Amino acid sequence: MTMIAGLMDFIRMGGYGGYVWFCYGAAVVMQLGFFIVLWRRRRRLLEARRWR
Amino acid sequence: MWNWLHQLASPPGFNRFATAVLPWLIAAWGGTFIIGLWWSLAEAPADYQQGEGYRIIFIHVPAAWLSLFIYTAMAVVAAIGLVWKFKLAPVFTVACAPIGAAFTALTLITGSVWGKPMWGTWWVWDARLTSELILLFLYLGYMALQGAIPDRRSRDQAGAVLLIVGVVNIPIIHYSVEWWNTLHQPASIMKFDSPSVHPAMLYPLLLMAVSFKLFYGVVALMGMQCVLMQRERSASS
Repeated sequence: MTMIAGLMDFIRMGGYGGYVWFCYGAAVVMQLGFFIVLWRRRRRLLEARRWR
Repeated sequence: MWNWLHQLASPPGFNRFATAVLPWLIAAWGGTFIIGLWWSLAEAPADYQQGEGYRIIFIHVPAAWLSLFIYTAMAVVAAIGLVWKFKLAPVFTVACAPIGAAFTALTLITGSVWGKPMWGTWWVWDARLTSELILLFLYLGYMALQGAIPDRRSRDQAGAVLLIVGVVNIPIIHYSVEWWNTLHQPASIMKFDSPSVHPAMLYPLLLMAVSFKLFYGVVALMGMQCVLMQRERSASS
């Protein structure tokens, strides 16, 4: 129960949870999004180059 | 002695370098990002005034630093490309523009979200915020210019000129908090005096900055390889 209470405190972030998690979420989504899109584009272009 | 630099400046040499370096950069980025997230969210103490809400600083400040750094790098490389007709210069600037725009947007959004609980407002037209918004317009303007001019050489030259002219905004953003009365706080780290941030908050901030920079390295290298291959494909078709 203490662990769950601690986790809830962590998520709530003293009442600023919404603001903080939104910003961290935006950073994670932006970085992962860029990486995945570029990785797939790079792989597609490398394969097309191999077949030419 | 400068042979390695000339090899790096040629597209095949750059491709070999990027392919060799990318796995290490990706691993370094992943490691520092995970550690940085944990350190900034769980380990760094709460602020005595702002409480836990201040943790947005660990995203907002590194994103702001990167937005300025990327534009400056683009402007420097654009100038080198214009003067020495360096082939990889427009490849670099085209690859970096979306990343720079994304970091600038992230800076503005996280700053706005931070400003609402702390300043009581989502936005003010103060010097720092307005000049950062202008930086976003410069990035978007560069990207729009790339799509608007059909001839590649004219496109690269026009883009380079825009980047060089726009670089005057960078010192304006940095010194805006000193030159004008602004709501945005003055510099706490990037100043001639020692940083006025406690080490318990400074070190996770610096780690997040390193992580963001490694991420920039990863996507810049991957982006440049993609742009090079796309240019190669359109040249041969």
